[in-house]
Amino acid sequence: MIPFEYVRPDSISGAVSLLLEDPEGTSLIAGGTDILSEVKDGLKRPRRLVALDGLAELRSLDVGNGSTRLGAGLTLAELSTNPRLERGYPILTQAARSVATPQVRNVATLGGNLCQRPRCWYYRDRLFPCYKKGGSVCYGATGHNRYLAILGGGPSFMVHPSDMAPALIAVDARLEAFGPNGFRTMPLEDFFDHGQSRPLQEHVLGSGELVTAIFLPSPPPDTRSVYLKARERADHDFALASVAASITLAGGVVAKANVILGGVAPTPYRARLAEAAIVGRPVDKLDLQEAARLAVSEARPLEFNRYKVSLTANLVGQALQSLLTQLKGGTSHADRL
Amino acid sequence: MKEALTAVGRSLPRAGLAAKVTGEARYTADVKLPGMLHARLLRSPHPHAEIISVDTAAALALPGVHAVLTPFDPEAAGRLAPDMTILSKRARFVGDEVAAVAADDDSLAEHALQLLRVQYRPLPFETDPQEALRPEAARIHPGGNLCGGAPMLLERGSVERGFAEADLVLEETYKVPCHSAAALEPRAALARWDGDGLTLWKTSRGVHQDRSTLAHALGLPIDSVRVVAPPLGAGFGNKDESRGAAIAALLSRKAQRPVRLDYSRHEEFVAGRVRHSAVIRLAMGVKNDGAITAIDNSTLMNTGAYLASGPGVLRRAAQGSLYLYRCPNVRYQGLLVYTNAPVAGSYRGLGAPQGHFALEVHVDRVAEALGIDPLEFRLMNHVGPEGQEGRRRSPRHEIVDTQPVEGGIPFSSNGLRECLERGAEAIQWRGRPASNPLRPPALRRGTGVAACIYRGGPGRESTARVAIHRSGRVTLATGVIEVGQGAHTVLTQMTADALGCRYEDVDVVSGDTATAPEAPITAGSTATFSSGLATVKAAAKLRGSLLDVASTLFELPRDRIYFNRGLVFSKDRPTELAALSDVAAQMPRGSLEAEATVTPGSPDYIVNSFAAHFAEVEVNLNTGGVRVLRYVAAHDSGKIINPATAVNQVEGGVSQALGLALTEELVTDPGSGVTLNGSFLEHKSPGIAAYPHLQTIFVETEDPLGPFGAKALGEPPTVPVAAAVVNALYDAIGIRFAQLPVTPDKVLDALAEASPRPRRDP
Amino acid sequence: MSTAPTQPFTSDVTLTVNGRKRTLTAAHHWTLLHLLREALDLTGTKSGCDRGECGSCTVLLDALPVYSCQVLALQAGGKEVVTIEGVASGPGLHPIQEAFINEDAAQCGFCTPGFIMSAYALLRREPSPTEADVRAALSGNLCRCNAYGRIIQGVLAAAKAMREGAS
Ligand SMILES: Cc1cc2nc3c(=O)[nH]c(=O)nc-3n(C[C@H](O)[C@H](O)[C@H](O)COP(=O)(O)OP(=O)(O)OC[C@H]3O[C@@H](n4cnc5c(N)ncnc54)[C@H](O)[C@@H]3O)c2cc1C
Ligand code: FES
Ligand code: FES
Repeated sequence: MIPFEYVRPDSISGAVSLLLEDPEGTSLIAGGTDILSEVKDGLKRPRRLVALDGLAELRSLDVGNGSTRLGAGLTLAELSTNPRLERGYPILTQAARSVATPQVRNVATLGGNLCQRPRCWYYRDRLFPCYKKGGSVCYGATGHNRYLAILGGGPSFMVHPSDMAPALIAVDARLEAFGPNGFRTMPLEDFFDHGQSRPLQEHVLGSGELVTAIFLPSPPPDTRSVYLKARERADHDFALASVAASITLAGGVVAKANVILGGVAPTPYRARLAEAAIVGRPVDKLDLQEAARLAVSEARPLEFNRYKVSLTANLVGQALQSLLTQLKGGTSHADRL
Repeated sequence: MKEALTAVGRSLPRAGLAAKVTGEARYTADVKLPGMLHARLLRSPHPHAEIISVDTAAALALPGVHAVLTPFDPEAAGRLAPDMTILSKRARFVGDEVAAVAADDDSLAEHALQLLRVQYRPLPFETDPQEALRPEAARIHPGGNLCGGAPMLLERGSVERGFAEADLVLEETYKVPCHSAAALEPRAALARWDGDGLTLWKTSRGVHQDRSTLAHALGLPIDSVRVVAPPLGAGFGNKDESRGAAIAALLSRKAQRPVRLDYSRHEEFVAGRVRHSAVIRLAMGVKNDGAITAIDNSTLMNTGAYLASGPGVLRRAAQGSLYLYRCPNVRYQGLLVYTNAPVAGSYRGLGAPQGHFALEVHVDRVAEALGIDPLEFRLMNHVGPEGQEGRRRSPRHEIVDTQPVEGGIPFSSNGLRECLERGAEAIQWRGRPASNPLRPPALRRGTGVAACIYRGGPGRESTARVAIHRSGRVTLATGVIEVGQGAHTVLTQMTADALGCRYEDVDVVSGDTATAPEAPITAGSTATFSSGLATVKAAAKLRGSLLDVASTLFELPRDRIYFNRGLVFSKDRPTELAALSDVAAQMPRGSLEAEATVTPGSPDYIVNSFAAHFAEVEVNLNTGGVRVLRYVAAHDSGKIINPATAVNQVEGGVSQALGLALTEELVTDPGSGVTLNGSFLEHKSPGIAAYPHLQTIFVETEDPLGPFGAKALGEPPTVPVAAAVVNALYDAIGIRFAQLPVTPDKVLDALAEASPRPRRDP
Repeated sequence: MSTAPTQPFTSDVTLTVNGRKRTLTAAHHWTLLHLLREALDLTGTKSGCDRGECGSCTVLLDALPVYSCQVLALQAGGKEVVTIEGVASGPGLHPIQEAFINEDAAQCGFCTPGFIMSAYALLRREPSPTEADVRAALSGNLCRCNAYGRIIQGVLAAAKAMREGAS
């Protein structure tokens, strides 16, 4: 690994000042499970790494009545083993447990999971000066694109690798960031950005900003959620496609639905047409097949990833079916994949 | 002698394991020397290029950088193989070694690499073997892209005649991708010079072979090179080349300091040795009654940028087609092609997994067309103990090449039928449901079978030395390296029983050209067989000499004394006379030693191992995911010397080959020639979660030629796996996959084309 | 892209390794794995990928199994590290090590220290694991010899032996 300086600020303001000193040459390091690979592989050459692991401000986990706050520095293991979190938001536990391996989860943080970089093979090989490294080409568009985007692709066809992101969006999470202008919050959905302005990141943070926490509203009664993830290998593997779905019923009618797709688009993808097809319908008159079809009706597969269209539709159908079963009082275990 | 076996046939603890569970065992990368430097390699970013110049000034100016080696150093032109020098002015694949740096530490060496200024002249390149055969294709080596200049042709009878006699001929093309052995331990080497003498520690599967390669390439007398192989973090036949070690040696000579070179994981994937990808066109002719009249196999294999062990692999890809089924007319045409892709080499099973995948899936296809159950079809047609029909052509006195093409030569033993029968019973083949019930939510199950024949056992000449010391301890000196397969364990067991000492009393000396005798490389599952025979012979010789000592000592005739479990007995008394160590203490010299060299094999028989595998799989129609639920592996590897390590070997081989069947592929981008997925995350080797319930059955034919009746076991477990799984998939969803690995995308794409149907209707 | 400084940044770091407090000067870019193997010569912890993808470098960091190749040495400052060399208390073997020998839970042995560390963490937290627990706890360790069947047996046997030893 090419040497760098490692600095451990003792507050988030300290971290912000360090970031502003040399924005180009500085990277944040939380658990380090992603950034260190990037440095070792020569994808990034930071002069300085600013460590977040000493910051108590990022480490709190408050499951409250009105809302829940998850510090960005919590590890995925902490999220996946917290019983109160599991009671309130089982979808988050499911998603956290599906990430990587026990060893990764013991150090990888929530903030790091949301800010991790693409896993596209072309991006991860330093020989390709691809769009996501500041180049002008997405090699995946015409190359080996079996794992790449079927929805919302271009100019890069990367897929967002995070499992936590779709699950959090499905429970209406908000993200809190801190920067030179203090705190701001936004719906987590708006945090992800595939805009052309900042190809070197997949989110909207500005210079000197960092993620401090995630806020979760308490779910309305009669809400159920589930996270399903399809992968090629039963352990340490990213999603080929995943679905985070949640449904809220009111008087036998679907009052609200979130259907968020992971692993199929450059950012977590809201399947609006599928949501529209079920919201407002009586729960016993839902056409799940149709909703599943609509979830991918805007898909534009590349040469080698057509399979993801049916895979994603099947997962959506299965997820919705599982939610209905749960809402009808059936057991709520996630279906086996 | 049989009832006296106290070590052979028992599950004794694996040799060397105690030091591995504590972390004490030092593998190559754990060996350190004072003043040692760290080397890193500059690898070509171009698939094919001429190297015009390398400017080393900036790198050498960096404090802490001690040596740089480039193809312009005359000593780098030393030849490692007919088509490979230590460094070359021609880069032949992305990842080919271009230059090397030795520095005080790793990150400094890495930094120095970035300061090397290389001028390349990119050349046209080929990544597809079919394309590489076009007359206008870029030439990768002077002799052209077809290795050997001509196809390999092996023939028995006449396939034309066989097809004319057939009632049905089926033809299909099968594809096996390139994938990587990816042993967990990356390649490593450490070089030290003492004057003109060179000592190299390296990841190795044969120190003697490595020594002669290295001495030749470095222009040194063979006696001035010593090669030491520390414990190996597995090789799977793969760690058989010496380029890294040669580079470390040259850097070390320049820097006048010891130099260590560790491959990164990415280098291990891209610049290690991969399995040859294969395109296999197979045509089979059969009679309506199920008799096979002809098998015609055309195989195209990609050897990548260098030949390595290509010809041997190409030959092994033939053996199933040539020999697994009784058939008077067979033909094999093999093409081995250079491309600008990672180098293919030996990987567990050599070409046999590729060849068997095609053959055994094809056999199911043919059986179905004839309306015969796949197991019954195999029982009808498999080769029996008598071998192929026909007349022997090779000279009567010559040791039989163990995969002859001609008929008329019987096997030394052949338990294939029992493998099929007992495996079928264990998986309840005949009792399996006649239809394929739909399981909620969308799961389908199916069962498949595949058989295997494997040449293994007889290898080249092999030597062993067994000595007993005054203390009573016994040393076995063998050239066979312990690569993780348990070779030292079984050789120790054989020594114990052939000599009459205890298993615990034997120490193995190996992996060092300074102390170990010559042995063939640990390859082709020859360790147990060839080195086992040499070991048994040497131990028996030593027993003879010890009997002389004992006979004088106890004033008894030699033939009234025997040794067992480290004790000395008289045939005329129920209790022991003494401990063997008491006899050893009376030896005239400090120790007694016996050496034996054998050329294993026989002029009268073929020595082969056999297996039949059965897989039960479950397919998820929603996700295209495939799970192997149950697996039965029935093997004829002769007498099993150590049941525990043998079961481990079979289970590991099956699980490893499930990667080939279902998840692994090393992808080289045709547009750029870059190998894209050289990491454990991207090249998806099996983990523990998917490990199936696996049952191993040993059909213990005692082979008359093998040591204590043993035959080869190391590689056969990987050979039939992909076919058994793919046949089970057909049973489950009625889709016959002709290309590996069967990943979810292939399943979903195939399902989209054909709606799934149960194959066996109620 | 910046050029690297010729003199790497270094700092003193204090951590407890196998029960012993150590203070060393570490370069900032050193991983914990590098510190253990190169600075302390604890070579039982292996480097199979150096990218957090294989598990051969697994150690316990404050009682949790982590990939030491993806943790910086300085990140481990003030923490407690247990490596394969520190698993056994005293000169004998730990029951997991014994079980790995008895059940033949290895082939080449290169993955073995990492697997033992994951198993050690599991059995400290869950003395009576099911087979599914064992698979889940070891799912971050690759064995390329694929000795998985024996490894599962080894961990289950160790759990049993430890329960019997404790009662
Ligand atoms: C073997 C393996 C398998 C994996 N499998 C999966 C998987 O299945 N699913 C999945 O979702 N992920 C997977 N991952 C990715 C893993 O989840 C991420 O690496 C991890 O979550 C990143 O967290 P970290 O704390 O280690 O981040 P770091 O590596 O420290 O940082 C990652 C990035 O986020 C930035 N960052 C970190 N914290 C903040 C913050 N608070 N504010 C702003 N920026 C920040 C860093 O600068 C860096 O760019 C896998 C990783 C590995 C190694
Ligand atoms: S070496 Fe750390 S996980 Fe592979
Ligand atoms: S025993 Fe060889 S990698 Fe596990």
